[in-house]
Amino acid sequence: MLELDTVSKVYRSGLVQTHALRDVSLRIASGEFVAVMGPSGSGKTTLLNIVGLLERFESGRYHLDGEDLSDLSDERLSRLRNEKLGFIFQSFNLIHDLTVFENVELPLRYRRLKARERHRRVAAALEQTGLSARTDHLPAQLSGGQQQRVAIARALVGEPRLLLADEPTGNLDSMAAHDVVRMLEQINARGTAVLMVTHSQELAQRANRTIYLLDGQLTDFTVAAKPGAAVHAVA
Amino acid sequence: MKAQPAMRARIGPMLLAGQVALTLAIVVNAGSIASDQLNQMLRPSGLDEPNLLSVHTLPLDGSAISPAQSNADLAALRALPGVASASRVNALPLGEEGWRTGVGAKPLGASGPAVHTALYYGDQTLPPAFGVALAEGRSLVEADVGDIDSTLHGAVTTALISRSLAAILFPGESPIGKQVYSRINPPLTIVGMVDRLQSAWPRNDMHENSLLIAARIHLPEAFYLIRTQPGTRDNVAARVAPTLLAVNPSRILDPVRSYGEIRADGYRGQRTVVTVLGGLIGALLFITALGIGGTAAFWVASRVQQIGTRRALGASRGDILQHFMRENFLITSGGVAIGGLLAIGLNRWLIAHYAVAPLGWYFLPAGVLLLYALGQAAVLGPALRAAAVPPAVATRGA
Amino acid sequence: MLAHTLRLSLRALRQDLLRSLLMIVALGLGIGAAMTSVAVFRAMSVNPLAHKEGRVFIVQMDNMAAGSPYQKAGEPPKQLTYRDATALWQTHQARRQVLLYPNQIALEGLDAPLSPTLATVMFTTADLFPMFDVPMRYGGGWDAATDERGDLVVVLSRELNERAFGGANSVGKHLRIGGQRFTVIGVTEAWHPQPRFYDYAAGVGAPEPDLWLPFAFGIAQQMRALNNDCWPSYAGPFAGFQQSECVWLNLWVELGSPDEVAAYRTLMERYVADQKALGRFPQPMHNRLRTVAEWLRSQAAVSSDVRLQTLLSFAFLAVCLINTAGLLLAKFLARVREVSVHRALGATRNQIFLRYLAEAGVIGLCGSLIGLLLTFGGSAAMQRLAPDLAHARLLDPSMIGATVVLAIAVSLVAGAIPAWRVCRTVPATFLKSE
Repeated sequence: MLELDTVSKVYRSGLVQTHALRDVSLRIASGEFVAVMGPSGSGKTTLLNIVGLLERFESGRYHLDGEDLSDLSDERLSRLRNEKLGFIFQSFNLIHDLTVFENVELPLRYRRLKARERHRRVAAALEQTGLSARTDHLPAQLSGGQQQRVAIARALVGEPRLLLADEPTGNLDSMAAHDVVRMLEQINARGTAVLMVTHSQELAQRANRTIYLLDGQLTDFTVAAKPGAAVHAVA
Repeated sequence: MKAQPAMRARIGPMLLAGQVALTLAIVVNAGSIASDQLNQMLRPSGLDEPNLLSVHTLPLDGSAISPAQSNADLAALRALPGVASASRVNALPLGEEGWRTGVGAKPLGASGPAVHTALYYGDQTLPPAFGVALAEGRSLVEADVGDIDSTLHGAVTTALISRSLAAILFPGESPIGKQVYSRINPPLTIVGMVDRLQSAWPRNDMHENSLLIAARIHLPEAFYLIRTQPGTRDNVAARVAPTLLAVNPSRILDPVRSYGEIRADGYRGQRTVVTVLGGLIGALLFITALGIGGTAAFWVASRVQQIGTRRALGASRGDILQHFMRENFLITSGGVAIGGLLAIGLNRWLIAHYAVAPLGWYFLPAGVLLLYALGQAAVLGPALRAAAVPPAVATRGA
Repeated sequence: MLAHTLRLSLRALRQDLLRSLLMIVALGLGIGAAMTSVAVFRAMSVNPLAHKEGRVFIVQMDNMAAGSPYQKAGEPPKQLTYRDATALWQTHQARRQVLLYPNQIALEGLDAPLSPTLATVMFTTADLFPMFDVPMRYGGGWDAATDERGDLVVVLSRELNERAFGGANSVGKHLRIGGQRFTVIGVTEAWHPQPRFYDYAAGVGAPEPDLWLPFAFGIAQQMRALNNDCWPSYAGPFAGFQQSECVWLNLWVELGSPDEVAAYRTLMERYVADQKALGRFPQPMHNRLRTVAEWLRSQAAVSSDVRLQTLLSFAFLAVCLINTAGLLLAKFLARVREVSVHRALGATRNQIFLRYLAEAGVIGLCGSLIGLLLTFGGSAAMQRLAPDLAHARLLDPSMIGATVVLAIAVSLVAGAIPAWRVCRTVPATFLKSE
């Protein structure tokens, strides 16, 4: 479904050049659950941003569903993000003066759907994440775990092909973290690919495979459990 | 459609809307007053102003300027190259001092209502010197001219009337041949109507009512009007004083004034009002643009993370731009709605207390459009900066 | 504590320099406009004879025809007839009394190189100079004996003295006035009381008097006033004019105590009663003995134009206030994280409120400087636009103080809601990492 071919990303600041990614090649098939690990500064976030169409890259190719994304306009990239991708961030990134309903609805507004259709999809997404009782609450009135669930609902509401998660449990207590990971697995089981950046070895083991980054380069691939294998209990 | 977040009761947008409202109310009313004063200043006087000079003189010994003296003066003036006509008059239109009385179409009783009118006395050379346009009837001829003394008493019979006075005294009919009565002069027969002749007092509400009475005046002082050929006015102006002093050196001679100067002096009050109000309107619009742009800039800066998130979720740059432009549009709309009511209310209050004219119908829509344009222009800069926030902010932070 | 707060406020301003400057300028504009209009208003409504308020009075009586009030029903004319003014004068029942009327007269230089011109003159009596405390540069006024003898003496204005004699001491020199030879006995200082209370006919831009001449000379020359009101109209010779119902003179009296004032009112009443018995004064008795302040008020010395401009200036200031409030709100809310940290460290709501209010006050203080500059410029511009303000002193220390106070007050009012709003934010909300 998704293929990166020797992609490199360079940051220039004055005379200083930083190679965030060097010749990274990656392939993700439909429905795969891939974890990305590595120390700080290894380029995990950059990789996520590039796959997520949040940043452009200097060299290499990126194909998504057969489409070459190298020279697309900002307009087209935004559309793709909206239609094919979903995001979950470490610090939730909910919009604090919108209600839960309005937050989840946001991607659909950019898709210009009719109100009734939006309503239907939002209700379904909230049902899926168990938040139907809280449609009119503001983010400030929710716990961390609930906020992340809102973010998941928001990521799902557009029926994306790929879900990108940036340290999704980083700000959560262990109970909430457990819930979130379970949800990600369920989503993945239904056919949505997941690319997750994480620090946690235990979380990474829930994925099909883990890739490791060091100084902007992939080090080795390890194929972990087969799809459908039992989930290890989280301590 | 659910209410946009910006419309939820928040102090910031309310203050901005309030500012827009107050600005609209003030700008519309100030603009109306200034425009009214400007219109007054632009009124034609009926005279051939570009070519008209005036000079004021009186003898040193306190005697009157006799007909012989003024004839000699006028002959000398008419002999100057470039002079088309010259005449003597008792007062100057727009000159801020003059003569007036009440007149009527029927004989006036000892007291009772009369129409206020300005009085100009002169012989048959006065209408061409004024340069007034004759609308009906004929101008004055030598046979019409009587004599009056310094108390305005004498045998006068004939006059020209201004159109506005004719409309009041003889509505719907021709004034030619009719009689005009006053308490000062014998009944005057109207032989001609001029289009327009303003009085000496530009601010007065009877400023277009005038009678031009055919008479030689025996006054201690004289105003001479000199009408020049086009283009020769300044040359003639330089020669007036020497010419008159040559005729009679023992006299007081005020500096020659062009009608441009007379008009400027006469309308000084209006000019002050227009300048002050114009400055006020400009400053007000500047402050409001500053307020809108400034607060928008702050709001954008404080919402950078949010903007990044929206972009990550699929908002294009255009979507972000539109979001902020629309937010401003809604705030301006709220302000304009209140401001419109305020503007009308303010106008009513001004009419009651300051004798201001009612708002012309086009002022409010023009003001509304202006504020919309101002708001959108002011918010454009911050909105463009918002649209330029990169999507990567969502993961990397602001 | 205050100094510390102020120092923090100044630092915060400096860090956000461009935006702070814009806020200061915006506030300064409003202050400048408002204070300029206040200066003009004051200049037109101040009492130039305030130090003699309650001692100097103008006499008014209503001799108008029945059913034909002068301008407004119940209000007597601004001037008196010759008969009435001189009749009251003859009673000599005031400490000082002044007869006064303006005109224009031919002036030629004798001992001065002056081309013949028309000079503005006030015909008056001896008491004018002490009664109105007219400051003299050279020489002095004349005395009652001079009035009686009918001497040909003249007091010059300072401006005329500059033109005619180059500003030198011209006492004893001669000028030809109205065809007669006059001796200069005094030159006034630049005396331009604002408003010109003694000259009822002075409109906008009317020239200041060049000459002060004895009243008796004007009458002898049969000179009427520049502005006479005759109802019914009078068209006869001067002798008849003096006996007519035309009003053209002013009578001012100086009285020493409330008893004397009461006595003079009684005198006026008795006089009017006598005249009514003779068939004059058909209107009800509308006697007025007004102080300078009351006289100015009755003349509506401040034109409606000026009132309107003052009103609009303050409306403009209101908009500037709301503008500042909105900008301060946005600016303070942008720093809400910093506030939360302070609160977490133990600052109370009040302390936060005062801290931010102080910042608003500092903006007000800086804004007052801009406001002062603009008031200065604005006053100068108004003096050029309106010539009757040309001699007024628009900015004095009290105005400067008022400007600063107004600016700080406005900024504190503007900053109150934003400061309140920011001190009520719940710290926890903003300390959680989003």
